[in-house]
Amino acid sequence: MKKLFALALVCALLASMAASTALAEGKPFDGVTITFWGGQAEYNDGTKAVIAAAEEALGLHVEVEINPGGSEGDNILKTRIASNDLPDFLCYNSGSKLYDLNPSRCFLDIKDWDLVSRVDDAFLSSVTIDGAVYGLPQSSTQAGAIIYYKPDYEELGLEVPHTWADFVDNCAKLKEAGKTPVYFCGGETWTTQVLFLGDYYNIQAAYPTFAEEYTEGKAKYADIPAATRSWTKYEDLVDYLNEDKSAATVADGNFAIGVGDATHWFILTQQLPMIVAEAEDQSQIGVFGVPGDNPENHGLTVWEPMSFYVNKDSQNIDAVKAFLDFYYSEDMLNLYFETYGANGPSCIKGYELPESVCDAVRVDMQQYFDEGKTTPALEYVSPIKGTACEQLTVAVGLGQMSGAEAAAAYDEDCKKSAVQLGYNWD
Amino acid sequence: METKRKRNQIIGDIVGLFFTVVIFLIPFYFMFVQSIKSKKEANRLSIAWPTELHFENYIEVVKHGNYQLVTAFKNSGLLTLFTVLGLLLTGAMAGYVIQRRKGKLMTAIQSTIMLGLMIPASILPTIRMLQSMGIYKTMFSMVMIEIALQTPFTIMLYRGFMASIPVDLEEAASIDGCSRWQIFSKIIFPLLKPIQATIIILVGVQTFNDFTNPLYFLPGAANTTVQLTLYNYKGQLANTYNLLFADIIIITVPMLILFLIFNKRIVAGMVAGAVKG
Repeated sequence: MKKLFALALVCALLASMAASTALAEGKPFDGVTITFWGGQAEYNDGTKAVIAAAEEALGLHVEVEINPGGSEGDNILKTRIASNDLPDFLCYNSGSKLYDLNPSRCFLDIKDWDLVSRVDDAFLSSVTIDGAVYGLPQSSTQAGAIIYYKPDYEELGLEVPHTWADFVDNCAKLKEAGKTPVYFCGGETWTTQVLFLGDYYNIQAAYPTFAEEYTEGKAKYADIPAATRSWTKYEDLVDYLNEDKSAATVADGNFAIGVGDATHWFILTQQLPMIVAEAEDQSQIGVFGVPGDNPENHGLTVWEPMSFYVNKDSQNIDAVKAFLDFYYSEDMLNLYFETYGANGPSCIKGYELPESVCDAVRVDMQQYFDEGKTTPALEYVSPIKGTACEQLTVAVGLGQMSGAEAAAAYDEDCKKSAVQLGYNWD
Repeated sequence: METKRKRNQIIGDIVGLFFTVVIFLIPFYFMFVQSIKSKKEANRLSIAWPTELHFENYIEVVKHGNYQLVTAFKNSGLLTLFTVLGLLLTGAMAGYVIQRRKGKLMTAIQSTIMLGLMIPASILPTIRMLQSMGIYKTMFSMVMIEIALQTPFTIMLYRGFMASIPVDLEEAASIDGCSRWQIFSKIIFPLLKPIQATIIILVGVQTFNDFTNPLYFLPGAANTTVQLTLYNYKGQLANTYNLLFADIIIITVPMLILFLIFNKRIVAGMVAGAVKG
């Protein structure tokens, strides 16, 4: 009798649970508001479209606060971490900047979430600290590469260069034809580093142990020829730059490449959606990696995207998880990339970008990934980065100092940064 | 001789007008032109008249983020109003006492207040204090912060102006039977009008345009102030200049109107306080 009664109870319990889930099936998070903090770049049209769809499907409401970005953004985030006032989830850099935040104290370790198994390992390694996984990719990967205006190449019958010498050759021909071969944005100094940082594929190809030895202070830019080359490449370009090279901004660059005022631009491919928006047709814009000296090994230096992080103390972790599950469903990924465009191949395993994404990503960049000719940027493999990097790249880029001098100066700079991080470089 | 002088005056006027146009109107015109362009055209940032007019930019800005701008105007309006009212009242009283009384205590109080002009507010301790009082992220706390930050400057202006009001007036009022409170409220306070106007405009503009303090002390989407809405259109990778400038124009207008109303008095008030200590 007792057993029967217990059985009946269990049955009733199960039935009621089933009923309640069935009831909630429609809009499981009706009336829940989750808060999100992110910059304008992350809260773009694609994200907005996905959020609108999620609000429709899940019934929750996403309240967005805009991150002003730059150092102001970093400060405000640190302030809010210190005052225990984080939003439910937020968007921030992956890689070395994540370390600065001491994530174990504020972000949720999500290594048990099913989603994590769908993300590729290269990305995961940039958000994993001491075995804990904190982030999920907001967007696609991107590369530090050369974005170029294809019609100029067709007009002069040029081929995509696979060695640096060929590239400089192409520049000479373009200049002869009265074009501006290379665009240089001295007005926003971070952009000038892309040639140097994007050349890491070639250093790593010629000197595979560079990252470790560099971190230990054994490998110096001034001593290793393959590494010095990253700096001297700027010298080769001095004659081929645009006239307003010391004042041009990123917005100018988007325009110049989009309409063909200049042919090449060393820049992160996160600019592609903006450049394509300027161009007459997306097929006019192409991408290739910074060429090295070996034509057989022309690869791409890859950056990981910004990440979503979840507030450890959030009241709405379930709702955030449901939102993120929704965000990474195939339909929503398609919606995101169709609305915003992509900076590079996606970090989700087995996911293919929709047809509408520009050729520069789907063809030009994808081939490097398919052939396995990619490497993560140095900042994901070594914590050390000299703080004056962009000042030096501007100086060499404008021809105010030689590549060798800059390499030596950068070594000094890295030493300071290494000592600050507690490395012993003597 | 007479005609030559007249001619010089006219030339002077023309030169003055020319500079006014260049310095004040051209930037305004530039903003306006960008705000009615299409996104593509606005990103060129040229001063040329747009090929197509896009007045709907303004509507888009107002609608953006579920009418965020309306909330922002409400927040900024309340913040500015209460900050100005609070400062007018407390600043006038404090300035009066400090100016009229002499002695070591007053010197000490005054130096303490003036220190506020030099020492910047520290953010985290303030937030902790607000949290412990349970008023963090409320409009009340933000008003209090703005008042605290701008008190020294307000008192300084009041004190300077107060020196130009003769003590004889108060003596006469006292003989006629005014109490101390009446002397202040009936005699002194009404005489402060010019400096009140100056303070309304200076403090009003300062508070309305404040960016960093609301950013740190008043986070939350419901608490946005107008200056923070600009970041919807400005990013590291790309800017939507047409919407950015439309937003700027909408935000500038209230302060411009305030300025036009109080314009004449500002200079009077500032100068009155300038020479006398």
